Amino acid sequence: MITAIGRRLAGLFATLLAASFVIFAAVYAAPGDPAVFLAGGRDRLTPERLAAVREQYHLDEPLVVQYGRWLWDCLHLDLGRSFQYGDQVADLLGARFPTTLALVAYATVLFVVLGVGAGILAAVRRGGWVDSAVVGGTTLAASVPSFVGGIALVALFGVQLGWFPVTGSGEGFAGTVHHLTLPAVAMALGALAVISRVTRQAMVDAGAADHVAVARASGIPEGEIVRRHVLRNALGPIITMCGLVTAGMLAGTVAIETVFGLSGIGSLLVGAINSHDFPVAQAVLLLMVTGYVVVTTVVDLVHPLLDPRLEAVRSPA
Amino acid sequence: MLLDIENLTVHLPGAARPLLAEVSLRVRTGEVVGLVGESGSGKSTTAKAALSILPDGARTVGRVLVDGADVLSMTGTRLREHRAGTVAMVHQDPGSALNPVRRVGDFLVERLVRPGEGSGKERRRALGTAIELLDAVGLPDPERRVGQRPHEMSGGMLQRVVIAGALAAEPRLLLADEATSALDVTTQAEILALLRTLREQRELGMLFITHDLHLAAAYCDRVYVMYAGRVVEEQQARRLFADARHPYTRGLLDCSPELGGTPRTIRPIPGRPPSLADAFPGCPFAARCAHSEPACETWTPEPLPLAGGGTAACRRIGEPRPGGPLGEPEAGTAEDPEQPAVPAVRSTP
Amino acid sequence: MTAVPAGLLPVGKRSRRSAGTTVAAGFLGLVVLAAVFAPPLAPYPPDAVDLSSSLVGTGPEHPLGTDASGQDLLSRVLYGARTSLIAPVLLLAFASVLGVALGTLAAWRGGWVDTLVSRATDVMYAFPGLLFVVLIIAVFGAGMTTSVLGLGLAFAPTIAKYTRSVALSERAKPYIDAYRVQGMGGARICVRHLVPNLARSIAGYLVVLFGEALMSLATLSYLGFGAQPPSSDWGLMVQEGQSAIVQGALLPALVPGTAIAAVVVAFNVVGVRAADRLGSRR
Repeated sequence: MITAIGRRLAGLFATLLAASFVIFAAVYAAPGDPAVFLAGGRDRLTPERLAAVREQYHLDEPLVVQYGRWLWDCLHLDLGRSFQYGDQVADLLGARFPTTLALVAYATVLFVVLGVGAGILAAVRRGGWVDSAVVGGTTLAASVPSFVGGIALVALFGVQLGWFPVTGSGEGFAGTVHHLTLPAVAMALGALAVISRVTRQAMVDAGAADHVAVARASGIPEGEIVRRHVLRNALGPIITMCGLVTAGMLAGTVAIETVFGLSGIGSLLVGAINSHDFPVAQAVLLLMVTGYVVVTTVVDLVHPLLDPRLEAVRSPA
Repeated sequence: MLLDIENLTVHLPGAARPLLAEVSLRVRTGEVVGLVGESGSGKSTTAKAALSILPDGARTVGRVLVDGADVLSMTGTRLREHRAGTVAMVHQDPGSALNPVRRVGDFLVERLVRPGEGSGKERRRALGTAIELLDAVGLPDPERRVGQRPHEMSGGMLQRVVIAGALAAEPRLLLADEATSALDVTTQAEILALLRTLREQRELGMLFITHDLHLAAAYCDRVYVMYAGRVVEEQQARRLFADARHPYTRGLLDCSPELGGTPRTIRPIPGRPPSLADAFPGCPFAARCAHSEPACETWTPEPLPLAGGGTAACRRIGEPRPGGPLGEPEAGTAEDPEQPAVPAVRSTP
Repeated sequence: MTAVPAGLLPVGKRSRRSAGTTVAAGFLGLVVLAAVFAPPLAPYPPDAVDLSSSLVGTGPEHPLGTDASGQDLLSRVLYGARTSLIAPVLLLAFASVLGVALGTLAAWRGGWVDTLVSRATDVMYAFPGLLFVVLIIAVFGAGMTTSVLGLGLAFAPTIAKYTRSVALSERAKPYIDAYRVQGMGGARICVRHLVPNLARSIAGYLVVLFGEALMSLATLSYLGFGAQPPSSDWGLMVQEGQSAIVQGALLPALVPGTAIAAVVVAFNVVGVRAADRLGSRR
């Protein structure tokens, strides 16, 4: 067990190291002088800026040393300075991250509750109209890009019905929930489709096990069977998938925050690219990739805890 | 009568013949009744009918009475209570009968706690009962076992747990479906002894389903033999070895080697066991039977009474002995089991 | 299951849900025709600005209304079908050349080549969603070419992984050994025999990926990273139409948005069946 965790954590660090190197070294793939590129392009170039970039990125040293220093700085939250906002990148991220986090959390609650719920319903009523409706609905939901779904929601619930605000992230808890409802729903739709399908399939597989038929033959109430036998045994794939989808949501905020004009790190990334503010783009990418890799690793480590058989297989290793 | 199956016929859409055809079977309180047949003969279907568990889409004719109550007409809560209370089943493979991710204690507690009584106090009391039950089925160290998961136990131990689960309902009828087939021989013996003891202590009726005719004949009070969805013979177990009357039953006895005595030829039954795609206008065994006559192909089988009690569904039972090998023996001339009248038939299956 | 010829599939499986598939396939056929015959079909040139008829609703002159600069939405959507359909095809073509080559190489050579390919794939997979393409756009700047090539790179590992798995089971078949015994070189066996035999299965997989490719490109265009004005790319049209929503004009954003959703739905419906028919794994 310990060895398995260790191996997994080593893999985590190797992946992070490689991904961060790609993010860092991308500068050198850009056409022209990296210093000019990092300073935001030729049109806004000043000698002071160029000097600041050379100093920040240690551009006179070998690539590996540059990377090492950059990584070291990143670990100390010194992410450089934004040329667009004139701020420390770390401060920018700190100011924007809570909105993104709230959005992802809200969307996660929505897709887990509704997606797992719909999947359970479809599995329990397999072959009936509820099942067909869920399968049909998820096929549709999985085929609509989140930004299109978001705009449809804005058009219907924001403009036509006026139930929800169409931009901004709101004040206080109630305000935040009110403002973030449409974006969270838009983000959750695609995820919901994935989760309800995985849930349905996992439940159907778990429901085919002999011990479920045995429990049914023993007159155990159907509700208990669904809860304690079918759903309990289907939890492994369901939770794994929920974790993976949640991890991927950080990247999904790029489109959704743009649709709804939210100032989170997703829209920060889009803005940074449009204004050639590469240090900010690097920092956001690094944050999103780190978040994604860490969450997927955690999901991987949690999985055996749900199935005592896996635990038993792993522990002697 | 504890279990009374009356002329039960089960049709399955798309099958060429009924899954069960006019099956009648009775189990009295305190009686161990064997139900023997090859796989696909309908023995499990018969047993599960007592719980009203039938294949999807099945159509039934006939009745299944448990304690006088018509099981097949039960629905909803009534059916659930019937399954949870009166009849319990012990399944063939204990390894797959328990939920692998839950504890042994949970398996028993959910059978002990009635719906709506899920409070912590009631569950704790149920856990105490569960430990007593595990003790009663001879599982050592039951306090520790209730906290374990199925993969931590051996097959024999698990079968004891499954039996304890069956007893949790305090049933009056126990259906043992190949309950010992998946166990090794010594464990099998222990479980058989345990089931017998439990039957005596708790005055259970037991339907013992097995493919092993020798085991059934040795272990049960009365034995039914099934073939292609029909009961072909019913006899007192002690008479079965000596005086099996249906050619199929005899065929089964000749199939397996026996300890002691002079070594005898093992004679497999020619042909193959029928599938659901095979339809029979007459006796289903006629095609494999050494004694069949053209008339057998059209004779609709019906249980014919035997002189010593019991029935056999063979057209030639009533014939006088000299004319046919299957007829009633003349008084006083018991047949020698070492010299069966059925001639040895060898053929590639 | 590997490449089962369509003729061997059970009849019941083939006819199941065929009504939905037929409708979806018919719709896709219409969309392709509309894209090909956009010039005669469209009532206006797609870039005909007419500020006097800005944000007009549906009517005889403009069946689907106009956008803020008075461009006819029907005409733009018809022309937009061209970029919106061709770009994913180019993307998948690039991705599959790269992916099939790497996947075959990894399966054929094994050892360190295999390890290298799978490690590189792992690093790509560390970038969730569109982030890898976003990085490429951050470096090389926005534009359709960058988007198509970048997404091609991002899709390549998935195709490589798929190709590797089907190539491994194909490689184990006796006919490959037979060619080896004849003294045929590895590269020649791969190009002449192995890859052609995988083509069906990979093609089915690509059909399934098409919807995702279209969605990804539309998202990039919507963010301003892909198609640039005055293109009538659907994703870009949604972005341009979004500001009119607040003014109560929903059509400029919803018309191209619906077009994207409808084509992706149709492709996903057809794709699942196509993958089954072509014997692709899922």
